[in-house]
Amino acid sequence: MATNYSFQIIENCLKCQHRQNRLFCQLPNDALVGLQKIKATAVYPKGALLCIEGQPPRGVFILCTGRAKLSTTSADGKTIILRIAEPGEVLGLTAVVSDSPYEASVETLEPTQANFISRADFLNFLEEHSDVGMKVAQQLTHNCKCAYDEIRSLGLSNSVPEKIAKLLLHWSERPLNVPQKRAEEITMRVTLTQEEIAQFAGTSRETVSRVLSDFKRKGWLRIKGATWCIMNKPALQNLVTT
Amino acid sequence: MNELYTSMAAEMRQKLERHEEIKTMPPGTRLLSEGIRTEHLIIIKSGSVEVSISSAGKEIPIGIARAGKVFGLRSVVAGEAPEINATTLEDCTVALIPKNRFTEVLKQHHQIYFAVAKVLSDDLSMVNDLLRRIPRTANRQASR
Repeated sequence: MATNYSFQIIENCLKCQHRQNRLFCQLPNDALVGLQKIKATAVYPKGALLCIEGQPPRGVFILCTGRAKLSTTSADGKTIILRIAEPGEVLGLTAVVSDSPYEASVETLEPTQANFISRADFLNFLEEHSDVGMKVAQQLTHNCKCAYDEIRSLGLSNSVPEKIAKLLLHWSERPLNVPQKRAEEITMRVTLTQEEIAQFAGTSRETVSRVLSDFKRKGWLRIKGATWCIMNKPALQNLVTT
Repeated sequence: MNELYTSMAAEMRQKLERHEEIKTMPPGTRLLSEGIRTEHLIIIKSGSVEVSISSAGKEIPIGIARAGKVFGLRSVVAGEAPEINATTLEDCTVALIPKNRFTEVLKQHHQIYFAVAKVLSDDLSMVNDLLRRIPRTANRQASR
């Protein structure tokens, strides 16, 4: 079913063409039949809040299409972005499993389809299907790895240019499939604002702007709206020491 | 009782307890190494353990774990290498459960996945809390 957002709504997980590429969705058919019965599908515009930090855990959201940022408040009261959630991720797992408030606010970065499952239904689902248990363990392990990578990056990186270089290199792992002027160029889509990049890197928007201008001036990066092109990956890699 | 068993029914707990190998580790013993999968679940029964992460050849302590802490779940259940190092700070009594024994019991009682998920969730909460506490500076020098 098409929407005003120019993407197809995935109504039936069993017929989803992305199933095999997404961590949580690689479930056997009987589990997916069970999932179909308990999920509520909705489409959200950019900027929609799926859950708010501190709220009681109503349930989990499985991100089908689109991306979302997970943000929280630091000890000194600043908003920080923990990570960007990609399609296939289950959001709100920690809160639902531990029966504790949501640890982060989740805001969509683009038009997004998410499947909501209430806490009670999800815990029953987890109890009934061992494969779901394995997927939950894998998702939480993945989230932990991302968080530890972030600690290494933030806690041990010495400069903002290094932190931004790391972000760019991380994003370049999902390039856009477009023809390149030069083979070594990597084009990617970046929908974060400079303010959001600053929240990710633990710095100010002005510093992010200065660093990106520096990268552009050196010919390492080209930015055209949401289309960013890394033109000199080795130069960025040389900046990264941790 | 350790953090894994507290969320389990008695029957499952007893099955796992039968497979425990109790050992005493002197101070300075590396129980878990970052990047190296472990073949055991490691349950701290007494003593304290330093948890650290490695970066650029340095080990940065991030906390102290005590009795009740369970290490190795991500390796044993999800097959992933640990993100942390765990080193005893004093004489520690640990219970080791071999991976194959744990997965055997897990296959018979998949409700254990809830207890596993709870421990992993608590670990993630701890890491996110660390992230919140890392100081963020407003301005740094741009590259030259």
